[in-house]
Amino acid sequence: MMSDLAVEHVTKDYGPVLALEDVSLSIEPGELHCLAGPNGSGKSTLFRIFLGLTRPTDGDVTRPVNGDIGTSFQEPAFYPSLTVGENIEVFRGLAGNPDLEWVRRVVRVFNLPKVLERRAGDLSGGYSKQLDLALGLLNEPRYLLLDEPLTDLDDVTAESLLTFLEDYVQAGNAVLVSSHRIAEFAPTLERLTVMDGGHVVYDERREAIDGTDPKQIERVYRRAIADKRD
Amino acid sequence: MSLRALLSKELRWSKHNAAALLVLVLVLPATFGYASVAFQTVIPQDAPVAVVAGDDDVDDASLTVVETAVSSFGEPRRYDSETAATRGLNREEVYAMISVPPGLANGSKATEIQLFVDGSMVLFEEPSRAMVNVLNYRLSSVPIGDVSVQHRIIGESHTLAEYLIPILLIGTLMLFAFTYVPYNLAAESQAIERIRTESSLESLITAKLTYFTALMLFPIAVFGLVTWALGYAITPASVGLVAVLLLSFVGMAAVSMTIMLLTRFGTAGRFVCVIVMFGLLSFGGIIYPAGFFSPLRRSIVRSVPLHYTTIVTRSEMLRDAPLEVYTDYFLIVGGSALAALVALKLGIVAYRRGD
Repeated sequence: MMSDLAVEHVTKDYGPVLALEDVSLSIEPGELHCLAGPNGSGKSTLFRIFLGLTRPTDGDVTRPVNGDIGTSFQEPAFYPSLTVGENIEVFRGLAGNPDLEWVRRVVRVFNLPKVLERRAGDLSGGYSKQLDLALGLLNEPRYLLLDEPLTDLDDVTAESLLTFLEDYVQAGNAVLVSSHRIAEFAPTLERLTVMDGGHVVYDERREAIDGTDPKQIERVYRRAIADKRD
Repeated sequence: MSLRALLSKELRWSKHNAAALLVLVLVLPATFGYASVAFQTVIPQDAPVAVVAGDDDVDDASLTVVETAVSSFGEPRRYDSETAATRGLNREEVYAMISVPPGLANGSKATEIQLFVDGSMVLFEEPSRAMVNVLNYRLSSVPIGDVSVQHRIIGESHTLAEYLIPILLIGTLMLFAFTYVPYNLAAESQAIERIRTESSLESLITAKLTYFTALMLFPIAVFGLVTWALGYAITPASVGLVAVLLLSFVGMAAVSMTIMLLTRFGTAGRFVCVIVMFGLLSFGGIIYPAGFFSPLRRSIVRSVPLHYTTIVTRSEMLRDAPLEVYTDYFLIVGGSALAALVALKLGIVAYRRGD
């Protein structure tokens, strides 16, 4: 299946600050794609361009025409004054009222049933992240973009998320993960892209990375950054 | 030493909140200072006054005599007929109408001039009685025979409480548009990015504007109920009243939303909205009619769309004038609401470009 989520020769500057320079990347269906890089490497800007929230200064962006993208933001994005249940209802409505069974599954995966009546603004950091992840999945998107999805999650919930993502990718969907904890995605990771200083400095598939060993992935990442900076 | 460290922290905080502080400690005081101008003159000194011939036999010399007398306390405006002058009164183009009887200038017999004021223009009633005295004095010093000026009220004479109802109703809508709407946008800005990916800023703003506008039917209804309960001589609701108030609210809410978008839902935006609200209160002729102010201030008031909202609201609640009298006022209010919506769209575009 062809990807319809891609950027080609994209550059983005914020006045004198160059956030991205000549970046090309496509997100392939059926893959868990990790986007790694130090702070300020341009990952979040690239995410926002994929989501249509930021327009590139130059280059082309291809996005699915039906907006078939779900996302979880680095900073959870929901209505803090509504309850968790109300947030789910509101965004389910915006997603075109997807299958209720799917919504229930998402709510269970992220352990939300016991906080459905709680005001979203009163949630702990972990639950806020879980709600944000659930909201991103409500429309069962073909492309799922997750910015630091493991932040604030406890080990059990993180494990549950990783298992869920494995199934989600196997169902033919694409998942793009931006994270500082890339090693935890090792078992499912199909492609690793490393960014630094607004450039793609490494972009290889699982075979080239040589194994699914978390330590090996960490090594590849560090080497890519070091090679760029040398 | 801890005090010094904490004071230093406050300085640093100020640096990071410079825009909001600038508005609060510089722009707001300056605005308030200038707003005092609004209350400089509350006794009309050159209010427009209609001068009209009582019948076809009235000659130009008689009208000129009265105009000369009026010019000492007002700005005389000659009208062709009493119907046209009454229309001017209803539209608050003039604040009194003087009907001149025939034979005034030749002093052939005792004549009676009538000075009419609108019963809804409560604040003008006392000054208009003073005008009658001044007019009597002025005309007695002119060699035109025995002339007396009588004070007449057109329509029902209202109380100050009744006069204040339309003002308070408009004030309620202003308060909602310039304080709650910005607060609501700022409070929900956390969800904006998700809304933008799932829907669009245009849809979000349209939904909010539609909902809040519909919500304004409640304060309108509440004011209607309260005035009915208090037994005020007020028309509590009419199509014209609801239409002009909702149109005005759309305009005001669109302005406050635009400000919030341009300030990216920041605190500075909320303060700017409050300043705009005070500006409208001071320069929109909402409390005091435009005729109470100097010609310069009057022209400023008449350039503010809310001035026309006030006139139509006052008329719908306190006067018995047909809605057609205010067709152009509706166009001004509707046109300004449309312009505010265009500005809002541009604000959305600017917000997106800021990413």
